[in-house]
Amino acid sequence: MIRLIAHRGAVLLASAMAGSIVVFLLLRLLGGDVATVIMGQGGTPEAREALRAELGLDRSWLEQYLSWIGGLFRGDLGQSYAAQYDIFDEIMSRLGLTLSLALISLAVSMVLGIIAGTYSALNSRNARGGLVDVIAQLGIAIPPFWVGLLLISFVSVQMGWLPSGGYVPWTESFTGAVRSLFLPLTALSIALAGVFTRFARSSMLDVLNEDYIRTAMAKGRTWRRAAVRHGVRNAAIPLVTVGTLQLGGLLAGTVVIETVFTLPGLGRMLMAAVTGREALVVQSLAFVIILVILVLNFLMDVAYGLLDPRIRDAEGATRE
Amino acid sequence: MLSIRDLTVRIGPYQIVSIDELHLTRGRRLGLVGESGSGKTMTAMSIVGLQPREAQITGSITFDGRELVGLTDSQLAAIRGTDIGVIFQDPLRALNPTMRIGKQIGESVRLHSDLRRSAVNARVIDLMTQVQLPEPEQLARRYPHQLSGGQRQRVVIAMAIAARPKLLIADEPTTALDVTVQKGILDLLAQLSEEYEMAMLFVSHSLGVVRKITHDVAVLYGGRVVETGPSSEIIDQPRHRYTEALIGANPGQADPDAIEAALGTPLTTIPGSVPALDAFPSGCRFRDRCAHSLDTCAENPPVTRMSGGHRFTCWNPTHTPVGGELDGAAR
Repeated sequence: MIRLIAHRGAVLLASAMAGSIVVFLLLRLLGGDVATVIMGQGGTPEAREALRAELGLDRSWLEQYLSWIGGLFRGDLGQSYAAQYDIFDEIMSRLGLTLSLALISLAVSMVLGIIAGTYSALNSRNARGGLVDVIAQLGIAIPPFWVGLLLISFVSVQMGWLPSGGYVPWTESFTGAVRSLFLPLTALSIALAGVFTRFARSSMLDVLNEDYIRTAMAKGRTWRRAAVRHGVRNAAIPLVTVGTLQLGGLLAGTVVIETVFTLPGLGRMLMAAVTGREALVVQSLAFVIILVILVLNFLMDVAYGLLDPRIRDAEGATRE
Repeated sequence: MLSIRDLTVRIGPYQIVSIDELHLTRGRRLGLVGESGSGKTMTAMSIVGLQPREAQITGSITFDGRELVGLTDSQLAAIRGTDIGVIFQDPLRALNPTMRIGKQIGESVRLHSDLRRSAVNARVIDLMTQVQLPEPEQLARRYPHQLSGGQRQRVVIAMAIAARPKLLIADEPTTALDVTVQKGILDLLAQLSEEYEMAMLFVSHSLGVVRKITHDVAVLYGGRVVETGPSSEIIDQPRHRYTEALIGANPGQADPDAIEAALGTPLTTIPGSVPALDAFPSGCRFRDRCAHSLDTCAENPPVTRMSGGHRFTCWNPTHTPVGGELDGAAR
C-alpha cells in the first residue's frame, strides 16, 4: 500500500509539473500584450515598458515560469490588476467552496449510486429494479442548471425553506454551510448519481454471476445476503474508474452551478478572469483546477488500492 | 440419506437434467461422472438450491426425510453449510478476491455458531490445521490471490466442513488444479469423509479419480443416469455402451496401473460430441454416437437391475458376465 501511494504520488508530482508548464506556455503562445490590455490604447510606449518591467514580463520565459512557481509555494501570485485583489488569497478563500461542492457531490452520488444500483440489480427481474433504472436515466438526462433553477424557484422562492444563493463558510457555521450548499449539491449530484447508479447496476449484475456469491450461499447465506455481503465491495471497484472519468465534468459542472446559485467559488472567479482578460489570474486558476483534478485522481487511485488487494500487490510487487 | 426421484431441471425450453432415481446412503461416497454438458454439476447444485437462478426444478430430492424441492432460498440456506457442505471446481473464483482468507472461513464458522470473535478465530485456525494448511496464522491474513491453487482449494474445503455437515458435495474439486496437487486434495477429502462419517457426492469427469475415492458411481449422459452401481464393478465391467466408450476413451485413467499397458494401443474416442440440448435423438440419447446401436434404440431403453444395486438403461449392453442374464427384471 505504501508503495502504491509513493508511486501514485510521484505520478501526481510529475503530472502537476507537466500541467504547470503546459498552462504557462499556452498562455504565452496565445500572444497579446498584458500591458496593453491594462493601460488600453492610451498609454505611452515608455509607460507600457515600465509596467511590463513591474509585472516581470520583460524577463525570459524561464525566469517568469520559475518566479510563478516560486510564488505559488510562497503564497504570492501577485495582484489582479483589474479587480485589485491578491490572487493567491482569493484562490484560497474560494477553493473551500468549490472543493466542498465537488467532493461532497462525488461522495454523495457515489454512495447513492451504489445503493440504488445494488437495489436495481437485485431486483432486476421485477418492476422495482426497472423503475430505479428509469429514474436513473432520467436523472442523467436532466441538465444540472435546470434542476438548479427549478430548486431555486420552488424550494427557495415559493417555499422559502433554503437560501437561493450565497455561501456561508464551514468555519463560520456548519448548519449555515449545509443550508447554503444543499440545493447546489442536489442540482450537481442528480446527474452524477444517475451515472453511478447505472454503472453500479451493471457492475453488480456481473458480480452476481461470480462464483464467490455461490460460495457464500453454500456457507448458509441467502442469495440476497450473499450478494450484499460479498458483492457490493467488488462491484464498487469499477466505479472508482467511473468516478475518475467524471471528475472533469464535475468541475465544469460546478462552474455552472456556482453561477446559478451565485456562489463565490473558483468557477465564477475563472469566468470573471477570462472575460476580464486577466492572463495571470487565468494562468494560476487553470493550474489550481488542474491540481484539484490531479489530487482527486490520486485519491481515487488510493481508493482503488484500498478496495482491491490485488492492485495493491501488483503495484508494489510485495508478494512474498 | 439423500434420495433423488424423477428430478428434472429446466432452463427455458431445455431440459438439462432428468434423473429417475439416485440414492446416497449415510457415510457413502457416490461419484457423478459424465462428459461436459452431461448435467452432473447441475444435478449436484440443484440439491441445495445453487443452480442458476433461471433454472426450474421439478420432482423430488429428499435429505434425511425432508423434501428439498420447493423450499425457499432462506429455508435452503439453513440447510446449506449446516447439513450439506459444498466444494467448487475453481477455488480461485470460488473465493472472494477482496476478503482475507481468515475472514472468509470465519464467515462459515459464525453462520453456524454464536462464538465470540476470539473463539471464531481459534476455530478458523483449527479448521485450517485440519485441512493441512501450513502456518495457518499467517495464511489467514492473506488474500486468495496470494495462495497457491492447492491451498485455495483447502481453504474452500475448510469453509465447507466448518459445521461438520453430514453430506459434502464436491463439484470437480481437482479439475482446476495441477496434477501434482490433485492427489493431496483427494486424500484429504477421503480422510475427512472417513473421520467425520461424512457422505460425499463427488462430481467428476475422471473415472480414475472416481474409482479411487468413491464407493458407488452414477454415469450421466444427456442429463440421464445411464448406469449406476458400485464403482469398481462398473469401471471393470461396464454394461452400458456409453460407460464402455467413456472408459475406452480414458486409457489408464480408469486404472492408474494400466497406463503402461495402454501405451501403444490405439486410443479410442467417442465419435462426435455431446449434442446441443435440443438435438438429442429419441429413445436412447447416446444412440447417434454409439457404435453398437440397434433399431430398437429409438425406443426408450429398459432399466435393467442387477444385484448390488447395479442398474443400467441400454438395449444392447456389453456381453453378460458369466453367471446368468438379467438378475433383475426389465421394467
